[in-house]
Amino acid sequence: MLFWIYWLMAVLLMALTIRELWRAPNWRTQLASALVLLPLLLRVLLFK
Amino acid sequence: MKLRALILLVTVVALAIYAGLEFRASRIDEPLYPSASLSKVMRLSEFDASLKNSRADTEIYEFGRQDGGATVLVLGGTHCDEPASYIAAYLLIENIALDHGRVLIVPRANRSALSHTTIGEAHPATFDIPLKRSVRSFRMGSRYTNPLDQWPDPEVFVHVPSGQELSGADSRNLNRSYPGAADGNFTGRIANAITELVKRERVDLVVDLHEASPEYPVINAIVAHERAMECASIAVLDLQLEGLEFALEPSPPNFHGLSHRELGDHTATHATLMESANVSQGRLRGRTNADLVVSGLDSMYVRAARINMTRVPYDEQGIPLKVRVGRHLAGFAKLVNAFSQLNPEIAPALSGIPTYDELLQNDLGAYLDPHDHP
Repeated sequence: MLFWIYWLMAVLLMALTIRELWRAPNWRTQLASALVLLPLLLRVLLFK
Repeated sequence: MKLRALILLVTVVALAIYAGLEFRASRIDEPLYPSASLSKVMRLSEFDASLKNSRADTEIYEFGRQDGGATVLVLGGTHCDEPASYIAAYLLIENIALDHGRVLIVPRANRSALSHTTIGEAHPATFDIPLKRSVRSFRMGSRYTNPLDQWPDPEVFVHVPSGQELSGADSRNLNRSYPGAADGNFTGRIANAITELVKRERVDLVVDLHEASPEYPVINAIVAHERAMECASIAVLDLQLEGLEFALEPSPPNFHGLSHRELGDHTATHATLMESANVSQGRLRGRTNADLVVSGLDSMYVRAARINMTRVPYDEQGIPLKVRVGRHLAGFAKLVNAFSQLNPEIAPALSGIPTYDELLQNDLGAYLDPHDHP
């Protein structure tokens, strides 16, 4: 159960980060969002 | 702006797939090439159904058959950062021949622990053993079950049934989890399945293969439960007569969760465990890489040995993997011989296992080459 709670949290954080990536005012914030996205994506895809 | 976001998103997905493929590779079992004496391959889930289709559902290789001879169980890969344990088990699987009796080999006892490395140890993902015309890669794992399979750790791990308290991380340590329980945590159920295997298959002798750092007190040793002490004593004397220094350690009665203690107490088997010296586990080591795992040579340990900081002799030759595997195989052969001396009516007849000297002379690759066994 905890496993799936953790997974859902990662999905939620990923959705928020993608929204930030889209709305970011400059390229630095966009790049930072993209870097945050990487481990979240690995987590959500159950790679890690 | 939107285009840049899209490019970044595509780049991140591509990187995730690239990294993900490397992670995924760590979950695919390395192929093994069993000898002609193989009778069948069972799975651990046959002894605890809750493990079915999980990462703990590992193979149990059966050699020989129940013909009135003794049954011997070899456990490799209980701790997967102790490569001599599973390489010795792989080598047995690929070379053993049996005329009488039965040998069961679980080469990846904690298969989940072989799917990751321990954070902070800088261990390589794989290491190579040279063959005659190529190399064969083997995975390096962790002492602990993968947190993807068991998470989070408790603050304090309370062992069942003794009530002994250990650090939380030891809840993922197979060799602190015996005898295990069917309703226990993931690692406890692996231990339960192995305990059930020992009971149902009427295993007479268990040899659990391990390694430890050169500064650890129980090293180059055979640890034995009280019932196995006579057998282990004969084996250690035989090994010493052949020039291999082995210590004999009694299984501590009040240290619970270990295979030699709990399998001895909860089943009728003769439970033993062997330790060799592995610098890639040591706290004093320098650069940690695949070469260190195979060569066992570390300049920091050479210096440590000069000031008597190691429990085993250590010099510029190091303690290579072939020496450690050779010690495990020699110890295994002597334990089986000693058991046969004490129980001649059920003595198993084994062959095909290289001696310590043969292994040093021919190297590991000669016995792990799928196309070219001596």
